[in-house]
Parts: sequence; structure tokens; C-alpha cells
Amino acid sequence: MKMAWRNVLRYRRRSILTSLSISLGFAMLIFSIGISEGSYRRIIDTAAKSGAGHVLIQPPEFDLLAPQAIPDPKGALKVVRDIQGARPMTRTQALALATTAEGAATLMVMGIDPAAEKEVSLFADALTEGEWLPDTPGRIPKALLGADIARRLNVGLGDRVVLTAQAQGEMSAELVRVHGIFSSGSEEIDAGMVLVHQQVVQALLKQPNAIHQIPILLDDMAQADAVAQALQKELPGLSVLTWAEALPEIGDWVAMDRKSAALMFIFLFAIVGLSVLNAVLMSVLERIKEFGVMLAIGMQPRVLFGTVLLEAFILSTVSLLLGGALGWMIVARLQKTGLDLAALSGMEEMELGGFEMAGMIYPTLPADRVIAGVFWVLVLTVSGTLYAAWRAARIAPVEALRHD
Amino acid sequence: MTDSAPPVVLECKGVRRTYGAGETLVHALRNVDFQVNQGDFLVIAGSSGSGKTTLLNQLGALDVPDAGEVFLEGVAYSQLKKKALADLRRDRIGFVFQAYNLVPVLTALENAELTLLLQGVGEKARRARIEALFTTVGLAGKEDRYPRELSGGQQQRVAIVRALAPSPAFVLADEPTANLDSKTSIELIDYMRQLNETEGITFVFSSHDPNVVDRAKRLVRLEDGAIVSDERTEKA
Repeated sequence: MKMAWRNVLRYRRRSILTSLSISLGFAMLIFSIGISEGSYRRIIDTAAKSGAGHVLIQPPEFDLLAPQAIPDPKGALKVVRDIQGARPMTRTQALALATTAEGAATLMVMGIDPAAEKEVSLFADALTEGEWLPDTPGRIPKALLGADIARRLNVGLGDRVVLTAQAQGEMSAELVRVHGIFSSGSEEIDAGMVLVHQQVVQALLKQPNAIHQIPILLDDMAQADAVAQALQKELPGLSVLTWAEALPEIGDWVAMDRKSAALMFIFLFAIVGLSVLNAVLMSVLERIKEFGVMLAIGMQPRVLFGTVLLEAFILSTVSLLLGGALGWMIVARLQKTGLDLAALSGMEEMELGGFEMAGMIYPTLPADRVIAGVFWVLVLTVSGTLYAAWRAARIAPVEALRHD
Repeated sequence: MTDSAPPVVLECKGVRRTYGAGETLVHALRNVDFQVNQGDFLVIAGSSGSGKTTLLNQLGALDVPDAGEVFLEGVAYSQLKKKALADLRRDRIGFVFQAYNLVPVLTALENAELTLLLQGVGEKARRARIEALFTTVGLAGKEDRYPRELSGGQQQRVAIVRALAPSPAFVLADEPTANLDSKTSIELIDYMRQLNETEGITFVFSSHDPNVVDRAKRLVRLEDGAIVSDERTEKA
């Protein structure tokens, strides 16, 4: 160990340059993990707060055109409330025709519990005009319209809209008054969604107290898989989906993006590994006579092999610590200030699955991704030196002793 | 040899070694037969290219002959596998090289204890052994110096301590004074001669340095890879 450490310091300039390439590469990896995880989190949170939740409970084979109600929503909600860090919401929804004196449009009527969602809903923050829904529906129920649909129907605050839907084979209508207009950033939502009190949709569908879906917001979205599994065990008659299952476009995109990022970093660190190989191979070739002496006095080739590998391991570990510290400092800073990727890239709008991707990103570093990064950097950089170590161990002492 | 001759440590039987092929074929050793006895202070002398280093490589189990056999205390090198040969070099043979060949990143003490470290000897025992040998060869107080901070003679003495530390059956020294001035050469060879006489350590040198040759107890002369004379000198 002592000899390996001193050998790293012996070729100081070369070690510093090699260490810099590993450190900067790893800092870049940490930064990229932070940004990509931050952007995943942003879009998943946006989608979750728009209605899907991080975990979603619904009847099996849920059909939006003919939504079934959850048989025992109170029981399901009780199970969810027992989970720490889980906040359930309730949704009743219907596909409806919205008509005004100026026109008509088909849209999704989302019935929510305004009091429960005020603090967590994306729509509360997205209101551009008017106010959040009152806790009770009132005589003429209030509605929040997406900005695009409001423009298409040519309605403003205080205007009336008739919602018509099919209810158990009959047509059913409800009159609502525009109480607010929201602009979520998602064209799909802004052009096709109306938010009303849950009782309005229940009345429209003639399904009193019906709850169609229970979206759950988690304090830590990384727990989504574990929470979904636990809930599925507790609620075998219902379908419990994670955000990735409920929103497959986003789930697939995140999975694909993670894979392509991993591939890119494997390439990057294969290149860094080559620079480590170069440094260690040079130091091996410069020490052939020294290795010859060690083998002559009885060092086993495998010990020599291990010593050379240890040199690479020391170099990589020190570099990882430096690069990790640098990457962490950058991420910690950006966690406070945020990073406006849209401004940096010149991209104003970009959507995925109907949800806005651009905007302020707050990077985050999940431990498992960082540990995986450290593991792969060590594997790639140290395995880069296997050849050099093999060369050192294969040296014939009698040849090496003649080497100048 | 008479019945009262010291036991044989090393023996070469019909050792041949060639390099190259065809027109460039060189006979480095031609049917070399000889024995090294316990307590020998033997110098293999000869001009450059006579085969001295090749013979030392055979004796030190660093090279394999084309024909013939080398025995250490009756065991043929050819019977041993690579790992066993490495263990044998570590435990039974001490090496002193022309260019000292110390590890630059280790101190004098760390260099000297390297073979003991490879043997797995504990730190206390290692330090005690090396410090005793450092005192014997006049290096006391130089333990923490790096090779670059030592003179050529001092570095070669560290190399001698490294060779002697595991109490080998014999020490092979390949031109150990070639890089030293005459005064240092004499000092160094006298140290080794003293160790030979007081400790009974067997030394085999290759050298054409008159300072070494003059102090040999036994002188073997090589010419074109063959032994042309093998004599016990008056100093023995």
C-alpha cells in the first residue's frame, strides 16, 4: 500500500493530469445525474400534481369513457392515510360536452375536493385569473377552465357554461359558472380540462359519492414502487399503479433517458479509463528494471499485479473524492438557485406526455445513482489498468534486469 | 573434493545456454560443470561477454538452461514450478546487482526489509534484523534516507543488507563494484569478506574488478562460456 501510494506521487505531474481527467469526468457525471434527476422529478411532480399522483388507485380496467367507481373509497383512503408521507386525493371525472352561447367543445371534467387539493394542486399555482374553487359547490357550481378552452368557448370570469354528459344511458347536464382560468403550460390540459367540485361530476353522472381514482402524492417519490406494492397487497380488488405505469409516456422516456445517459457515461469513462491505462502503462514501462529486481528477489507476479492495480485504485479513488466534492458543490449551489435550462438552451416550450419539461430545474442526487456512478467509474478506470498490471506481472526478471 | 570439504550448496551439471540462431547463434555457456561449497567466497572472472552474468542467472534461478541442470542443496531447479522458484529466490538466494537496483520510493530501511516483507516476517522482527545488519555494514543512522540521498557505496550496502536479511544459502553478486570508485569498492568487498569469514555466508561474484578478484578465496575463470580454470587462492 505504502509503495503503491508513493509510486502515485513519484510521477506527480502525470498523476495530477490523470487525476484531473477522472475528477472532472466524475464531477460532470454528478452534475448530469443531478440535472437529469432534477428534471425527471420536475416533470413527474408536474404530472403527479396534475392528477395522476405518484401512485394511483383505480378500479381494475378503468375506462375513462365509462368510469367505474371504487367500491369502498373510504376504506381505501384509510389504508393510504396509514402510510407515512402519503397524501391521497380523490377524483371523479367525466367526458363531457361544454356549451356556451358562443360555441361547444368536448372536454374532461375533473371533479376534485377543492379543500384537500388547494395546497398541493398544480392548478392552484397555475391560476392566471380568478380564484380557487370554494370548498362547497354552491347553488350554481363554480368551475376552473383551461386558458385555451376558455378562449375557444369565448368565456371569461362569471360566464356560464353547460356541461352535458351521458349518465346511465341518459343525457345529463349541469350549469357551472367560470370562477377561474388556469394556464398549466400543458397544451393538452389547457385545451381540454375543466375543474369542478367533485359533487358536480357525481351529479352529472348520477353516481352519488362515486370516487373514480385516488391519486397519491408522496413526500419522497422514490418510494413510489414500494408504496404501490404495499397498497396492492392491502387492496387486492383494485389496481394500484406507479406514476411510470399510470403515465407510460413519461415512464418510458425517463427509463430511456437514464439508459442513454448511462451509455454516454460508460463511453466517457472508457475514454478516461484509457488515459489511466496510458498513465499506469507509462509508469510500468519506466519501471521494468525495478519490477525485474522485485521478481528476482522473490516477489510473486500476482503480488506485483496487485500492486500496480492498487496504484490505479488509489489514483481513481482520490480523483473520485475530488470530482465528487466538486460535483456536489455545484449541485448544492444549484439546489438553492435552480437552473433555467430553457433559458440556457434557448428552448421556450417542450412537452412530454402533455406536461411541460422546460423551466427551472432544481438538481437532486439520489444515493443509489451516485453509488452506481462511483462503482462504474472505479470499474472502468481500474479495469483500464489491467493490461498494464498484466504486463508488469509477465516481465521476465532476467530480461528486465538487462533493461536500461 | 576431499571427504572433509564443506557441503555443496550449488551444483551445475553440463549447463549450456545459447542465444540467437543460425549465423547469430552465441554459445553463452558450454557444458559448465562446477560446484559451490558452503562458505565459498568465489569470484567468477572473465572478460566482457565470457558468460559470467549468464552463469549467475542460471545459479540464481533467473534463467533456464538449454541443457544441463542446476541444483541448490540437491534440488534441481527444473523440478520446481514458477511459484516455487520465486519462493526459492526469496528465501534461499541473496541478490546484489551492479546498479544497486533499490526501489526509489522506499527508504533504505524499507528497501532492505523488502525480502523479509515478502516472506511475511512481522514488523518488529524485520526492524530488529535490518537494524542489526545496518550496524554491521556501517549504515546505522541512514535508515530513513531515500536511495537518492545515499552515495553509490551506501546504496550497494543497502542492497547487500537486502540480500542478507533472509539468511540465504548463498549471495549472488553481479559485478557489485562496477559502478563504485576503487576505495569504495575495496571497503565494500572487505565488508563482504568479513561477513563471509565471521558469519560463514557463501558469496558468488561475477567480476573483472582486480579489487574483487584479489580478495577471492576461490577463482573461477570463464572464457567463451567455458570454465578454463578453477583454483583456490592463497588468501583462502
